[in-house]
Amino acid sequence: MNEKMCPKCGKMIPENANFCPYCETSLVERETPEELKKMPLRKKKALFITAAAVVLLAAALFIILRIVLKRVDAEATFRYEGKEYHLLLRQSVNYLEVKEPQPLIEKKVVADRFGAVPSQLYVFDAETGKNAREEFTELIQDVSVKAVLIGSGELSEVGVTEYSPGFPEAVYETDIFFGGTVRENRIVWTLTMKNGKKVELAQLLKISVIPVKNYDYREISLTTAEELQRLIDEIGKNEDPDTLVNVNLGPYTYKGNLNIENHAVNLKGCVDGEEKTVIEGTLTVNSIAPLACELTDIVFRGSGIGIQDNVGVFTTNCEFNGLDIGINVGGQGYGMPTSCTFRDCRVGFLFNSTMSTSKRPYFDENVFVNCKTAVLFQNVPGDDDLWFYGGSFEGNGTDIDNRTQHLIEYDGVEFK
Amino acid sequence: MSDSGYFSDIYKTVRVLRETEKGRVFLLRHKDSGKEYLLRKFTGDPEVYRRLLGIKSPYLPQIYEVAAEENRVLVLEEYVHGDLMADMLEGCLFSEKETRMLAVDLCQALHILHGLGIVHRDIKPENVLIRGSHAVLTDFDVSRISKENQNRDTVAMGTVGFAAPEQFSISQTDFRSDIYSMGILINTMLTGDHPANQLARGPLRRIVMKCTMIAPEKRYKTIGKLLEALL
Repeated sequence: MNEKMCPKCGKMIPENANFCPYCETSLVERETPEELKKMPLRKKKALFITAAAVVLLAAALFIILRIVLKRVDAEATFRYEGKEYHLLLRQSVNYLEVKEPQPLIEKKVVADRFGAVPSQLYVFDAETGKNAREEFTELIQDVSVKAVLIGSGELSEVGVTEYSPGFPEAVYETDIFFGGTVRENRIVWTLTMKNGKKVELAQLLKISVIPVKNYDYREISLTTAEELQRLIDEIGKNEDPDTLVNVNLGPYTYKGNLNIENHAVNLKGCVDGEEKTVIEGTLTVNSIAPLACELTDIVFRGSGIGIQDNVGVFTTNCEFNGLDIGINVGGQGYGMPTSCTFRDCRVGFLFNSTMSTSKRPYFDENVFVNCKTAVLFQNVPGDDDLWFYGGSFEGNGTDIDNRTQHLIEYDGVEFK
Repeated sequence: MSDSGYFSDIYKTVRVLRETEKGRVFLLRHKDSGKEYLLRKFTGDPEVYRRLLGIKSPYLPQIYEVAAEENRVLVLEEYVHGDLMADMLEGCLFSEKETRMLAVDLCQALHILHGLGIVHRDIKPENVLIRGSHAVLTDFDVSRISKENQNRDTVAMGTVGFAAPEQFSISQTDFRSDIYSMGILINTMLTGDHPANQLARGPLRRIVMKCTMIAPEKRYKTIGKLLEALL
């Protein structure tokens, strides 16, 4: 057998050895593959300053300075074979074509809650202004998106970067995940083109923590719809837009229409005793971002619409009894009922919205009983499958009237 | 490379850890340093282990050396000090949070394997070690432990119950077979049972269902998609 000398201990080992069994030294170069980015689920361990950490910090500073000095922006130009492409990053909220870059993504989160924002790359023909997604995609060899920490705070995690049918006009889409802590990160996109050139774009992500304010029926008078509407209006007028507001409702029946606009309000129904919180009237939600309304443990009954969702409402453990439409999702709503019961409604849940439901089109564990039409999908952007996992349908005239191209996932759904 | 003479001068064979019809796995100890290693002797294809020679990952055991003569293969591998998931499941179940964390680790391991063109084909609790709070995926295309009962036999490519439907047909096994097996594993971690017998409840139920779709094209398309869903 041919032999060679171990470069570390000098012992003779087989010529093709990858490992010296004597000194236990690896003779091959080992690569640590890049991990799929993940969200930290537990607190970080204490930081130990070592020489290696100092080197890494210096490298990070070098990268940050390089990006800052190079003025990497949220838009760039790429020229190929006489054609010029205009690239830009932004967070799109609907399917309308957008031509302006978004250099800053600013979000506020509730402390200790996780959040995520999408970021998309759009490309246009610089001469015609037309979307050039398909032809530009053919020119790309590789794409990577990384978060770089600026100053203090924590590093955000970047999800998988790929084409998403939820944002069909974008070349690529990715999600940036962050915990409920203050941070400032540069989100750097690097495109390696097939002709060997690289294109860099970047956005600044600023996360701050929002305060929470609670109102409780045991502390203020909240026995009628008028009192409740007065409180909602005061919140809309006086509260900072980024303050999370919870209103704990009592075991009362609120008769009358309610409007939430100017500021999101989370309405929590009474769970203290046997009496429930009831709303007899339409609750219309037109509140402005950044926060969405969360409605829990409320009974909606009457003859009209239970919830008119025009901006996106999370509804959990609510009941919709005898209504014309239980939840009517329109405008840019993305209605997300979970564990709700729709009973004796003409239409339990109606979805006719322009808002993308990419990635989270789940309507889990909802029960539909004796509705004329349990679910009606008129317009749902994108082409994600629509899930009703854990749900049940019983005694309805039509269970799901699907007028879209989306597939419905029936696994885990019970039809009685 | 021979497992006698050369190695016996340097390593002490502590015991035989596993024995199957395809080969044996020995626990070795370096006589000078005291460090422990696994030595696998089996008949088969060394290619998977050769591809892992250049990889260092906390989610996979390190492969130090691979030698082959005809179809006889020797692999010197890191001895991962940890608890076998299968043993841990004898006494208790994993919480949703623990299941997510460990499943994310296994997705990282599969991301590496799939990136190297390797389909694991045998993802199950017996092939997962828990080292500290991390999961390590072990046993790449190697036959399993001595049979304890018929249901635990490894057949062809995979283990009954954990193997994807297409692994029992003539269709080509692809990476989505591993995703199927991950769905079964996640369910087993939560309930102790196969989803056909007892489907997990809670947010991970949806993930189990999508992983275990009969049609491979309806499962998560990549391990990255599965990881994203677990977050």
